[in-house]
Amino acid sequence: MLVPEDRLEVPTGVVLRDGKLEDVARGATVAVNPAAAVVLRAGGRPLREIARDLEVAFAIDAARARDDVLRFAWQLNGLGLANVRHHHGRLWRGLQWLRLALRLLPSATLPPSLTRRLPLDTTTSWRALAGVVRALVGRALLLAAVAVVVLMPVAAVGGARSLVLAGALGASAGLALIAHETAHALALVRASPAAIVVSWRRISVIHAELTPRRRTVVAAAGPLLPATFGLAIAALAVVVRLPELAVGAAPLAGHAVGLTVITSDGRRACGI
Amino acid sequence: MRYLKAFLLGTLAAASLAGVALAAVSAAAMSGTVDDLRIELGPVLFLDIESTDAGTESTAGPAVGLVAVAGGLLNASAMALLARRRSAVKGNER
Repeated sequence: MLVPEDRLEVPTGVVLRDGKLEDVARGATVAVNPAAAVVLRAGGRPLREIARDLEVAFAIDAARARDDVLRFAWQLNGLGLANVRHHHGRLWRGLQWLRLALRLLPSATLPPSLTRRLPLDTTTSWRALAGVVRALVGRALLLAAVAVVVLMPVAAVGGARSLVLAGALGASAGLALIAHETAHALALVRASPAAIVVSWRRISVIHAELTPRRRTVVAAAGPLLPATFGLAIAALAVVVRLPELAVGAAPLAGHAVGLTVITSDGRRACGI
Repeated sequence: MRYLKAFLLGTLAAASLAGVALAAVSAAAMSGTVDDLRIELGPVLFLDIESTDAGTESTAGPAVGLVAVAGGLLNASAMALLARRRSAVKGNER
């Protein structure tokens, strides 16, 4: 949800220079018109105030200025070129989202979600790892918690071992997420600047254009690392004769599907 | 080259998934949860678990390799389909 009281922030790695918006991570430059430059320079102020500036500067009516600013803010955010600092709290936004979702129910679509771009330093492996963990630790813990909560009613019937299994599956799902994005980031070390763009539905590591070979390595590394962890844990489960451990490794091993053309990583790895 | 990449990645994906499934069943057999078990794909052996007095013996058969190769072929075919569809869309745009 985006409201006129929200503020737009130009994230690290995005620079407005000579009337052009430069995305350092993608190595791309976009020309912006004078109205867009006004919005970008006023970053950090509420969108309502920026709309008022546009209204005066370009002699347009208030409703059009407001719509234009909101639309542009959505567009920039969708491209990972601007972050949104919310005016309202999570609860208010959650309720507004629910209200909109109910209104959109007949069209079977969900309200669009905002993205958040976070810096990712790929100059060294440690910095890349730290960047991914910092950006995604909250998401990984949430994923693990949701997996445990979903599995708990089933696990409770099966006794103590099943409860441990539910915990292992949750931890494995969270770890898989971190391992996947870390592998992408490590494959980019010293090859390209990068950033992480996180939305409700999707996490992307964005980077500049790479050679076909490097592109394959970067795309395949993501699914490959958690799948390898999954296989190693499954092998350990055979050695220690603990089937629950092998089942717990399933979310990690499941990332192997990411090597196929079903997923965007797999398609990129194959060069299509 | 693209088809080879797709085949290899598909093979790797299918082998990983089959490997974890095998490990889970083998671990279950070795811990005593499962006794004798024989999984076959038609005439080809996938997994054979045999409990004897000396212990439990688990053997992975050639079907694992076949599953991996099938995964590779499936992925390469899907890639070919996607590539053809994309080039058709590009042709229409022109």
